[in-house]
Amino acid sequence: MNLSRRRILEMLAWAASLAVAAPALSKPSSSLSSEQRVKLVMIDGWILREDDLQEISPNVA
Amino acid sequence: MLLDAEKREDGWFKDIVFDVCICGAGPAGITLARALARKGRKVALMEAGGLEASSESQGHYEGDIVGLDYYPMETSRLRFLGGSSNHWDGETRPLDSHDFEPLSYDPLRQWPIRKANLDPYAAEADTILDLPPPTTPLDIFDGKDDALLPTILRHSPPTRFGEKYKDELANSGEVTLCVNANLIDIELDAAAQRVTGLVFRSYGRDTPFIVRARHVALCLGGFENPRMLLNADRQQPQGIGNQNDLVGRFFAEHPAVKAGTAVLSSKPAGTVIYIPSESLMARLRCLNFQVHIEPRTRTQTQRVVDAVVCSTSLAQRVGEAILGHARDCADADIWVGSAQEGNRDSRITLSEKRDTFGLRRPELDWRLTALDYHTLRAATIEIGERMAQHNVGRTQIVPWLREPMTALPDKNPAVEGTFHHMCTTRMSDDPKTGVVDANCRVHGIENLYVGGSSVFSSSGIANPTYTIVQLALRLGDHLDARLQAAG
Repeated sequence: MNLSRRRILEMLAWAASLAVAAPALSKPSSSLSSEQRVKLVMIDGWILREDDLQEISPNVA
Repeated sequence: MLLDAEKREDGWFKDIVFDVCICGAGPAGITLARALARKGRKVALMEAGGLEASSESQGHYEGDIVGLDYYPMETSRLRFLGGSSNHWDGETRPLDSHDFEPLSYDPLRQWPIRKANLDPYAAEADTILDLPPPTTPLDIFDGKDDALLPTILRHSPPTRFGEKYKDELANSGEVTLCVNANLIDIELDAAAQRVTGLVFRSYGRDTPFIVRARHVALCLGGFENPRMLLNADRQQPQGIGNQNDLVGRFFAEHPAVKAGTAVLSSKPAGTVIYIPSESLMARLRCLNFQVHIEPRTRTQTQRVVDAVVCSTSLAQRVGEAILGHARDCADADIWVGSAQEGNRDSRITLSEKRDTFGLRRPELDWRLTALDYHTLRAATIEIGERMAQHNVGRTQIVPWLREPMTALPDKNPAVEGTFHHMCTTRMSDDPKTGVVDANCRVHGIENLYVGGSSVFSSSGIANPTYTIVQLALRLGDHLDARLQAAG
């Protein structure tokens, strides 16, 4: 893992630690096609990929 | 020729009928004067301020803010030779082609011209504004996203119109540039269909003087063009060109918000700017917007602190305990700017207060609509989602943009204006929906024209100076053709 990636994950871990739940992102949703999309969530204002949360804390995801 | 109204002698302008009298020597007025002079037309270019800034002149821009928070009116524009180019930051680009097209969910957007009507003036606008050739835009998606389109703002040095063009105007055989000449009234003929004279005063002398011309162009700026038309109520009580109660309405800015911050997997070399594709706008049902991803620059000391405090979540919490606040460890700030929906209630009116010439001062009631808010929020979410989907970074949105809202709070300091004053004498073929026609002529007045961004039918999202210059060059061609036809 390079430093930038680590920094991202650390910030996400901090954001995730604040979260009680990880709700799916509300509308307006991305206009990417369904084939392109990964599932996103918003936690404490962070727009995250669901796999971010799995990597940080399986309990939160 | 360069004259100073403070030093004038009786009889000045008495026996002269100019081809065109231009009021206001900012980017629009100076561009128009130069364009006409090049064609051999006799031009009076009347500037209310002097060659340099003065508090006496600037004070005439004072007004009241009654809508959304806005900058003091006397500071968001400048009143001396060169006008507001004197504090221009130099960033600009043309309007996008779809800005001119009808939009079903913004029904009052009714440009009677298209981008193709302005494109012939692009090369000359580049020269006038000293713009370097366009560069390749930065793109954190590396060409993999087709909905957010990377774009650039071109950077003028910036061109200060007064400094750059003063000598040319002063030495011109066609242009009579007169400073310290404050327009205080517009005289119409008995039928109120033609301007017969413009009444001016200097600061130090009570006696007004009149300038006559075949055609007149008001290039006073987005606040002052409507203010002057509304103040000229001696023969038309509702104001000139205001028979349909439109003068001053549709005031538009480019509302800008700091929408969030981002951590990036790779730091870009500079500010990255995106605009939406037309299909994205249609899918989101939003207006045009610009997203700016501005990388933060840090001193070496700040980078050392970041390396410690931002290294782990535990270190952040320790740092927070020591500093008393959380250190913001983001790599970039996200700014979003939006076009504005056509809105009659966002407007310039006149207050009961008067300046030293007896003219009623302006009152600004800037308003945003639910569509404007939706655009700011949709743009923010879109950039955040696409950064996550393409795995190039993650964004954190500011709290007030996280939830859907139908309107902004009445007073919201989070929304900033950008000194772009537009649409207050908007262009439309129909006098019931616009103040000027496609040639910038005031409906109902055969020889009165308006220059500047007040004629924009809608704001678009591009910084307006480029379009202001294009429109002034086009107006120069139109006036020359009319003068030629009249013989």
